[in-house]
Amino acid sequence: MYRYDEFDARLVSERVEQFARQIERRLKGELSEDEFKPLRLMNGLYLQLHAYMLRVAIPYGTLSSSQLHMLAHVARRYDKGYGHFTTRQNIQYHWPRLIDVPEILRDLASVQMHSLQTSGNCIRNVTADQFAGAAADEIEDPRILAEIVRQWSSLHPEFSFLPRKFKIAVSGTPEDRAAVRFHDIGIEIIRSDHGETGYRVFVGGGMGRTPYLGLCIADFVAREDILAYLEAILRVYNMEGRRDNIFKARIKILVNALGLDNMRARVWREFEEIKKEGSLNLPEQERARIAAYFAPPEFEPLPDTCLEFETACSGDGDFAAWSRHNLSPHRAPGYAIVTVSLKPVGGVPGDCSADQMDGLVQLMDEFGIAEIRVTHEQNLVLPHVRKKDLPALHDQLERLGLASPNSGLASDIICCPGLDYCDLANARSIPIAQDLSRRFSDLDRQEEIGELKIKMSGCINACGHHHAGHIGILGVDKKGVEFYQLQLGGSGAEDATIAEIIGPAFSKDEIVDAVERVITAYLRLRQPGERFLDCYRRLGLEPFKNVAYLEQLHAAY
Amino acid sequence: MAKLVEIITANRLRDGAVVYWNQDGWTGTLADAEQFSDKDACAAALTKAQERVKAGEVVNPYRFEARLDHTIAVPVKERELIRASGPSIHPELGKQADPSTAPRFRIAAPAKPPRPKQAEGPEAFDVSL
Amino acid sequence: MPLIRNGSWAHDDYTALTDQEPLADGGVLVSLNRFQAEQELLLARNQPLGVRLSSSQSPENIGSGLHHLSLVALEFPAFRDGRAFSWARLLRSRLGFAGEIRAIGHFLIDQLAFMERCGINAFDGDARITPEALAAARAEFSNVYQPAVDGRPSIGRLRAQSS
Repeated sequence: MYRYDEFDARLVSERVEQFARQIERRLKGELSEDEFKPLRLMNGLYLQLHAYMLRVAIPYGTLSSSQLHMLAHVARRYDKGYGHFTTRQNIQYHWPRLIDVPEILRDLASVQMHSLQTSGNCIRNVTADQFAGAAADEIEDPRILAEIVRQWSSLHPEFSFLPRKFKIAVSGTPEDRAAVRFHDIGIEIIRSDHGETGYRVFVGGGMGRTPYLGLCIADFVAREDILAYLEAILRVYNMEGRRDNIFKARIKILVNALGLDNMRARVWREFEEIKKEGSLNLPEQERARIAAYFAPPEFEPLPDTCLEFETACSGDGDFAAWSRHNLSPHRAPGYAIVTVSLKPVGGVPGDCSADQMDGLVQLMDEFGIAEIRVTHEQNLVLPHVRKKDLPALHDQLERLGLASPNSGLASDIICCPGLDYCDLANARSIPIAQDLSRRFSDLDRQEEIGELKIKMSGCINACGHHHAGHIGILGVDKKGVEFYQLQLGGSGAEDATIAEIIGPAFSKDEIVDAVERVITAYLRLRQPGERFLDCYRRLGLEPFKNVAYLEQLHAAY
Repeated sequence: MAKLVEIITANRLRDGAVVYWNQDGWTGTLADAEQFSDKDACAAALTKAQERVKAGEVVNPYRFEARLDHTIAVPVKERELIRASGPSIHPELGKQADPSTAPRFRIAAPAKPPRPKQAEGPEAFDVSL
Repeated sequence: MPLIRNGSWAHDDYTALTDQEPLADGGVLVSLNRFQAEQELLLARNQPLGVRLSSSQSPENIGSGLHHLSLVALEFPAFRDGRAFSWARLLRSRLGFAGEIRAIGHFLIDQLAFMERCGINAFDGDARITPEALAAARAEFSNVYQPAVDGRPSIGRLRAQSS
């Protein structure tokens, strides 16, 4: 993985000290809260319901074991012993004190971590496929570009006060695990007909009040041009994006207002000029320097079939179940990608205790696993595991309470913190996710249902990606009471779609039953092998809507 | 109908903790908050509380409504119930976990984990969200 | 009203005029509207002339008259409004403007270094905006990742040079 050189390290340290001085000015009264707020947000610091919240960047979701150990240390020393992994591959601490933040950031900087631009109206932490460097069908490791973008976007002099936040995601495979079409800019690494590697760029995707799928603004951007092209998009957005209405300030609204062709022409004009200046051309030498850090570890030459593994699959029921759902094919024979579920039955999706983090650190050291990844689905991934180690690794995960065999199943729910923590939330989301996960805790039942993505947010801002859920749930406030809107048919994958709202919201006592009725209807209506999403696409909203509201209709008459 | 009162709240600048206005200062416990039944008196107190923003004590003071049940103020909105207690999913965390700051009501747990150990006074009762 | 130009306190040699006020002797600073309406008259005076742009006005609106100006003032109606960062860059790069670019309105000392990088070289802000604050802001970061119009070599370039 990427290692800071002296330049990166100094910049992060200087940023920490700058923020420490900003906090000092705030405490002394030299900055008002109104002035301090955007400054603290640009460093990932929120003021939530109970306390401050610090969002620490995990660029493109990659952590070393020593970084994970530091996250555990921060959780213990400055927080309440746990952290929350987010849908943007970051980690949030929900209880830090403002006065401790400089120390936290110094500790993080000592392991090359920071909270730069994890919030605020600037270019946010860049996300990428969690299987980067391990996926079998990868054209190029997306983290190379993501790191280049991280550097270019850090403390950008022109784009630190944008109309609104700006999120970039990179995928290096045809299969999209990074939800690129739901980002302000989504980048897909592609290979041209001539065998040249470059980038397809989508613009104007996003969730929230007005969800849009990103549109393809450039079919192929050459490697050396990508920063110039991104700078051109950002400049058009900074100049022309709306600033009069916070709900219409994202780039998706601009793209929609201008029309894609117009937007493309404007970006092209800026691009040509920036390219002419030449200073943003990415030299191959610098690209190669960064790429070298992401070279995959040397894989042992192993046979792809592994006796210990096969035996364990047929033996212990728990291991067999786990291996069915939480393993993905690795490009190297004899290796597998392991998804470590942070979705225990009845647990808080994405939460991880300091002890669990340190347990993972030990396990990584023991099995020689250098990196761990954070997924936008709020799980962790061990990208390079020898198949022969899997049974022992599974035992240890079980001891840590991290062996839920539910990756991609009904109880693998994405969920934002909601009104239990968040100042913006309208309703609680975690308790509903917990109830759903208990309702579907039976593994046989989950396996019968098959792949199902339930995603839930406590407000319209859609941190829980409800628009991209096969089943999406949105918490709303009706006169101070929590209600839940049900949405169906969304997808954040390469077949991206925006979920449709089925009708009036359900009360908190009704929503779990309604979801269950929808799923039961699917089981009745599906064709052999058909996923929920495909069944919904074939049949449309109507049959699911009818069953979802059945009880209410009866009650009304 | 239970009587409505108003309460002034804010978050403390240095650590973000939830605080409530009482006479001339702040308390961390909703049970100790000053209850205003008079709008003008509340507005006057809010003005005083806002001066504390300049002094660097707190951030964003505002007022909210609570229903008076005997002498116990129970916030009308979920947001304030949760601020007064802590996360409903973590009864072991926040004000609810400490008898000296716990509110004298409980948020009815929506989930099944064991109930929090509360500051059980004779007047403790459940509030359903 | 003192302002900071090229890092030091400087005398403001322009009189800022509303669209109704009569022209004063010496340099004047007028709105884009007034400049467009009275361009010939203003240029014929042969005195220092500046145009004030609101944050929604691109400097491209100034047109060919730009090269007769010695000052463009960019307004920050609120420090959150970051459009002027792009206007300054356009002025220096696409439009080749070499005169004074002055930030006016509401901005924070935390923005000064970014502003300079984008080509702003004069600041007319609140009492906290001082040459000392500017010097401190400049010193906060030893290096930068991005090329901008200030000629500072980016970290990428420094890496290429040292390898």
